[in-house]
Amino acid sequence: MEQKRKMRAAGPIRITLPAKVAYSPDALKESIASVMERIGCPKCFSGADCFFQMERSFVLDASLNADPSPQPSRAVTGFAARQSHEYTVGLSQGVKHDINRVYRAVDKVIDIIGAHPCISGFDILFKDVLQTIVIPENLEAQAFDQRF
Amino acid sequence: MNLPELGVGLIYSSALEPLLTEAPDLINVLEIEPQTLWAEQKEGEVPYVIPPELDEHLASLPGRKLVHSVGTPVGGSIQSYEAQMPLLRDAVEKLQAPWASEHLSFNLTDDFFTGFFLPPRQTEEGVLVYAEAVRKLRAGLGVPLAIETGVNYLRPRADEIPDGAFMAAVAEEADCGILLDLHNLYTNQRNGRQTIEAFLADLPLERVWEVHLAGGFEVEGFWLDSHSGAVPEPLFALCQEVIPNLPNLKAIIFEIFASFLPQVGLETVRAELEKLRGLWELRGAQPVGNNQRNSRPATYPDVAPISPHEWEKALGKLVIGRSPETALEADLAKDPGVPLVQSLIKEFRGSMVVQVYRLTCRLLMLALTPDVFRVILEDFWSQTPPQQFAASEAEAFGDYLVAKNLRLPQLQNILAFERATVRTLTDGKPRLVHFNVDPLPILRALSEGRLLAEPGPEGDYEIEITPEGPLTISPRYEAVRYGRS
Repeated sequence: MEQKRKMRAAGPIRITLPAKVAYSPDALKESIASVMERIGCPKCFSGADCFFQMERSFVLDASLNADPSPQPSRAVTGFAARQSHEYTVGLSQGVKHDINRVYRAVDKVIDIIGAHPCISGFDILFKDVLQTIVIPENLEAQAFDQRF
Repeated sequence: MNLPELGVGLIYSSALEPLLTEAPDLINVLEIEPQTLWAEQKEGEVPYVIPPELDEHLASLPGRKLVHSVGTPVGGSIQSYEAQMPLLRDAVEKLQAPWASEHLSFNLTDDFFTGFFLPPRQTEEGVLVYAEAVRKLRAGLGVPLAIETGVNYLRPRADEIPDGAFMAAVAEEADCGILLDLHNLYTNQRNGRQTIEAFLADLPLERVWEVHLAGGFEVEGFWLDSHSGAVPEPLFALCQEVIPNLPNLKAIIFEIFASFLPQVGLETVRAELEKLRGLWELRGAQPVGNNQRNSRPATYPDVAPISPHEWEKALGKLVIGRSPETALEADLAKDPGVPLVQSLIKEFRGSMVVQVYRLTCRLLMLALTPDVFRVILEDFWSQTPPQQFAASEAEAFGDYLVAKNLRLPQLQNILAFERATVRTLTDGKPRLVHFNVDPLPILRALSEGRLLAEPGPEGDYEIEITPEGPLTISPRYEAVRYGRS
């Protein structure tokens, strides 16, 4: 890995952002109403708020270098899939619903790649842990040997 | 009741503003949901704030305005409207709304918000309790009040007054108007509750001042009131028969949830408004008194002595995922509508968090996979009840993440940045957030939905979040980042 450059000048480097711009990269095009709608009380309706699924699709698509624009149709499909409890998580059944094991798995990855890894490195290793060794129930370290 | 005829319009959403500009003649009235534009301040001098420029902006939009409250429902034994009343009344006055409306539903128990509008206890006691809530809210607002017919995903119960008769009883006891949400009734009918025809046969139609229409879709055998597009054809056909029987109809409002606009497009909204204008022309075509309303029984038997308060406590507890303990809770837990509402509440809660802390959530999804992020959210939901406002829900999730101290690179910095930003948006105070690496490449990558391939240069960086003003970057940033002097 390329050696990280260090900034040695005295005092912090400051970036000043108006809150509205900080909140959204497109904020200059956004009205204050749209910003407030995101932090206010949800609107009146009794259906499925598809925004969560849209974000999920957006992240998955962006990571595959596909069209990253959020697609409500796929969000709705995702919601329907979730209703049938068809999770695609690469965790073993015993780990999947045990949050403590999930957090221990994260810690294990950190232990392997060091205290200040770049985020992408974490991503690659964590996904490998999830998808390749499918975190065993006992989270034993030898499982990593199967991959590396 | 001498109310003005307003015509056809929309529930306001900022995403619909291009249509307001392009086709102002198509929209006679905008219905504002004030609480959707407020920021909650749990530690501020006042509990809720709205940017002053937003008040002015709303007033400047075309058409007359109505106020549709979404935070003070009247179908519960516990109300929370005292804190909201000053801003709510302010909205009514500034927007010069001739009437306001609220939901005959509940969203609050003794201990928590439910995160969803839930059906009231439909008994004689419920009629008295909710009518009193209507009177109090109306007195606080200072204008006539209409109550909305709600969605109910539960099966009909033997120990409750039928839906139409219950709505009629509350409206007559409180002497208020009715907001007839026909898509809500269509949803209830599709899901096995009373038919629209039977509901209307029990209703004092002269009390209907306003109609709501929307579209939905089916999931797992349930029709959802999702406000996702055009009014279903069978419902539109029924409207052509119902609208002429509403002698005091003053407004027809189309509802669409902004998240679906990228899919359906503004042209669908425009087309629906044109169809609604056709319906509007049918209003009051039948002579008053033509409605053959069912006569109301003197009393309805309470088979089970379940009070509104007990009902709200039991149902509220179940839908946020807590285990049944009492006989009523065990009985309600068998209803297939309960797991559906549990799922919908989770989607709401997840949507609130990802909308407010978008970059933090993207980092978690990208680094840990979306499914592990979901497992984390499930853990958070199991520990913390829903919040009424999105920023507060996100704040609670932020507290959870801080307590977990997840060792994910940059997570705490990104979270601190987004928390500071939302807090500054709410209270107008500037804040500083520190980073130990150049933050801009990380923020840019996450806003594009990707992780950073290479970390930026390490160093002492700070981002100052200000309530307003220009974006400025220290000249030293350029020098360090790009080697420029």
